[in-house]
Amino acid sequence: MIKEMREPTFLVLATLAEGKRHGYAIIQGVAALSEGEVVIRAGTLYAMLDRLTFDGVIESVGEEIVDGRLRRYYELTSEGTTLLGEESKRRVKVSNIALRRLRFVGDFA
Amino acid sequence: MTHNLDRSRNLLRFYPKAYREERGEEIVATLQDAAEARVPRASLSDQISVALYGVRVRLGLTSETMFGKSLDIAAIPGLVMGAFFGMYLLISGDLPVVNSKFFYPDFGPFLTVGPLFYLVWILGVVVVFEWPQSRRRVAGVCMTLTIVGELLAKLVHRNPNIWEIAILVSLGLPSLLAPDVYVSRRRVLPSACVGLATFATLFFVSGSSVNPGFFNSFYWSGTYEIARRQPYVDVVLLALFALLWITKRREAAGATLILASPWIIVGVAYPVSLKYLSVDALNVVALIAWAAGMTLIVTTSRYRPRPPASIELSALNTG
Repeated sequence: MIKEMREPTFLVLATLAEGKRHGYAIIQGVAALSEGEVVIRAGTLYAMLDRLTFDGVIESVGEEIVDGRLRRYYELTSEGTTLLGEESKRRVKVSNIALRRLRFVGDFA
Repeated sequence: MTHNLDRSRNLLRFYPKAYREERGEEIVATLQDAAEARVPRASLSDQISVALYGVRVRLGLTSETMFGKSLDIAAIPGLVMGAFFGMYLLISGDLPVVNSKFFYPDFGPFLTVGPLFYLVWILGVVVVFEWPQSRRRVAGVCMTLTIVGELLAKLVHRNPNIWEIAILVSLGLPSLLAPDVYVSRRRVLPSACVGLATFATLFFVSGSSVNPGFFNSFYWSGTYEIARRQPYVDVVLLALFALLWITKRREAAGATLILASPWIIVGVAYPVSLKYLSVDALNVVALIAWAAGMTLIVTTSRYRPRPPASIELSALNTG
């Protein structure tokens, strides 16, 4: 089970929170969420998908052929949903503290 | 387009057959999508990443396998052992040379450029303490500088003992090969302690009043000691491996075996390279046991297709 999460993993899970996605759609989702800051390469994506599937955080929910290309879809498991929820809350909590503190120092009021 | 498709399919050759059959078409589709959407350079990066991951899957070096997990455990302790090894060689081998009547310095006050290499490894560990996620890059830099330095030293200066350098370089291999997983800073200190404890055990297990330990300087009689004293070390390492394996700490057992590799190999390879030195039978037994253990880890880590039941359950067309 994942105990600590890196940014790309968080972005992949956040992309899948919207519903099932296939490989390239996940890459696009991550790029969109991070406003182009995080670009996941195909090899890295499959390493992550394998690891997250192994950890029971995501699962493959089927496949279809579109324009002669095999698309396999992935979605969050209930465990993955809980994990993403907890991680999101943790990030929000830290961000809120940071914003509260910034109110006293600059233009973030 | 066909050329692109062929190239994408060729990349699948890096993957084991079982993986290729299960995921190959999916990866090709993703590569095709990426190639259409991106500039050629980005598409090349995708292809390289797919090929590299294929090699990892083939060698069982992913984060899900025992080999990958063992390498992950062994990574930072290996670097720490390398730094302490360097420190020890500096104190016991290079510093005494400074005041020796029998040796003349060839690199500043030192006999060889070895102290520079040791410094690189010590600095490398300092960097990993601060940025544990950079362990692979740090290992790559330490290993490259040591190998290149050794080759250059051979041309210009007196080069450090090749066995010593081989051991040093191989201690970086676990970090270089370990899967790219999240390494938090809280993991570094325990890992460093494991590295130091392993090093200290190796040192003290063979210590005596006559000779101060296993890692006696390579510049004098120390090189012989590694072969002569290795049997004691073998017994400790293999006992530790067996204990960890039996108590179901298999990844830690694998890490022990990985970290023991340089000593066990050198224990046999060094005397074999010299005609006048005989190989200790226990060293050979340990090498065979080590090879069997590593084969077990590698075999266990081979990619296996997912059971068909889980695929059936997850099929989209079943609803």
